[in-house]
Amino acid sequence: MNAIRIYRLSERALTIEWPPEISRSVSAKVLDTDRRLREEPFRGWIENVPAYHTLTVYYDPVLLEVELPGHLLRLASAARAEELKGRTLEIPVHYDPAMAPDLPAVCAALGMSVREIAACHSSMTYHVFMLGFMPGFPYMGILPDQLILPRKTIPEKKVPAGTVAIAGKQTGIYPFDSPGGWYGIGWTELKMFDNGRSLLEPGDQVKFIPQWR
Amino acid sequence: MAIRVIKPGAYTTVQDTGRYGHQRYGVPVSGSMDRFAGALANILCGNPWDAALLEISFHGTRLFFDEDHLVAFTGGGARAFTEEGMELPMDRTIFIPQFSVIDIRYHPEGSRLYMAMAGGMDIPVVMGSRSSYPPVGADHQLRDKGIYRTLPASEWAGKVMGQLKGRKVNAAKWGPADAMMAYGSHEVRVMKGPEWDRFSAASRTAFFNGGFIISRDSDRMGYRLESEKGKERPSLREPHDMISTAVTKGTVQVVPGGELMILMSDAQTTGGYPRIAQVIAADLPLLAQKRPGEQILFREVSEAMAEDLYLRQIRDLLRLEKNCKAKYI
Repeated sequence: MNAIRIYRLSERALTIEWPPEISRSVSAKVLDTDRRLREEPFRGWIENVPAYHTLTVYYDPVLLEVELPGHLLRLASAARAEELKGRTLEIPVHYDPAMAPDLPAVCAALGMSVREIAACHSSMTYHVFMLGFMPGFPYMGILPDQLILPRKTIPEKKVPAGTVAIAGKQTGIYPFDSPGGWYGIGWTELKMFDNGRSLLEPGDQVKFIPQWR
Repeated sequence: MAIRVIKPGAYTTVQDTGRYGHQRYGVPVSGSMDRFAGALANILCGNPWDAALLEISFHGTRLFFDEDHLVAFTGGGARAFTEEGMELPMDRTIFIPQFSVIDIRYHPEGSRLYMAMAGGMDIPVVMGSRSSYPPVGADHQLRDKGIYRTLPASEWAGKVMGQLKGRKVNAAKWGPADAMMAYGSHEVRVMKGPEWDRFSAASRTAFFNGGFIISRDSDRMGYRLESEKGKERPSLREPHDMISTAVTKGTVQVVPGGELMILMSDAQTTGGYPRIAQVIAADLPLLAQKRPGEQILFREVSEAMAEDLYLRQIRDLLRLEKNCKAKYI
């Protein structure tokens, strides 16, 4: 059974969709297909946007020569589920209520101390599934079960840049001050997007390093 | 050649056709909201379609021209006037003599006026584009007292300038026919969105029955739509956990509470709300010229039709460009 679907997003974009799950094996296929398309772009290709279980391919229909849905389906079907060797980056995080005002509420909701949350959150190596929402915002996972919380019912008007936050199975970092609905549990001084460059890219591996004053 | 800003206006930015190749890092495409008007203005100035120009979202802009210039105004929402109060025509190549002052005043139809200058605006390229988007370090909102230069004009523009040049503002007689874009239409054509089938039958029927009004809370990121009183709000047949995925200009999302949000030029690259429809590329210019309070009515077309209409629009612009070029060779 072929579990891959191709659908049209716009006149200038098709999306390849794998089964709807947040998993490293699906992500590996997304990123393998992404890599193949970038290494051997078809005429009219513009760019790819990898996401958890989809790869969206932007192109110029005026220049297109290949029968695109078929081409994408062939590439996607041949994608490997083994992870590519991505870079591993270390990100220092201050798990400090003074820098992450949501921490007391998260402690109460999870029944854990700040130290326990820090230890648990920094115990894993996370996979960068995708970037989106704003320049340089990484969607990382998969969060340990003990840390799973839903989004806030009412989003905050302003989450400070550098806030390390969690939502569902995901963890992320706000590159800029912005509205946001994820619970902030820490803060990093690293610039996630600076000088026209994103610190992270899809497929990177991230380790959080707790900082204690 | 340069213009000086006497008054920037409430919201005037530099735009081009957009910033591509960085959506994978979460960088929005940006670019002219009305892509058609942007291309048209550039064609009339002998520029490449992706040359940088001004997008004037409200009136109140006042500009001083240091030198002779060749310009074109397209789109809507405002009109250009000389200091003496003469209204300049839309969709025409216009010669502006040295030391002229041009005022941009309110006009009730449309929402965004484009002003292209021969050569295109000389603005630093950030991540492959001159479009304003401050988070990536491209803050190109028109500044009070700012001086903006242009890049060298094309040979064609030089010849046209020679023909139109004089002591006064002078517009070319030739230009596109009025009917190139049906800006007056309230009908916005869409394709079914990827989550269309997940919406209830009543929601799907209601979607095509009108009653949507563009909210005041609309900007370059997106248009929020308000529903008329008593109108069925779109709802899913059963709860569905969306996993974030790519969205694009024209994507119609249903946000919690059942409101519709149409993503526009500065929209985020990914989203997690169900997508009920996708506005066809050929009708995005029309939508870009709608203003808060205006009603819109969605009508469905097939994917094949949408693509055909988009390609036809590009061919119309190419034909116009060829005809313009043939005027002065």
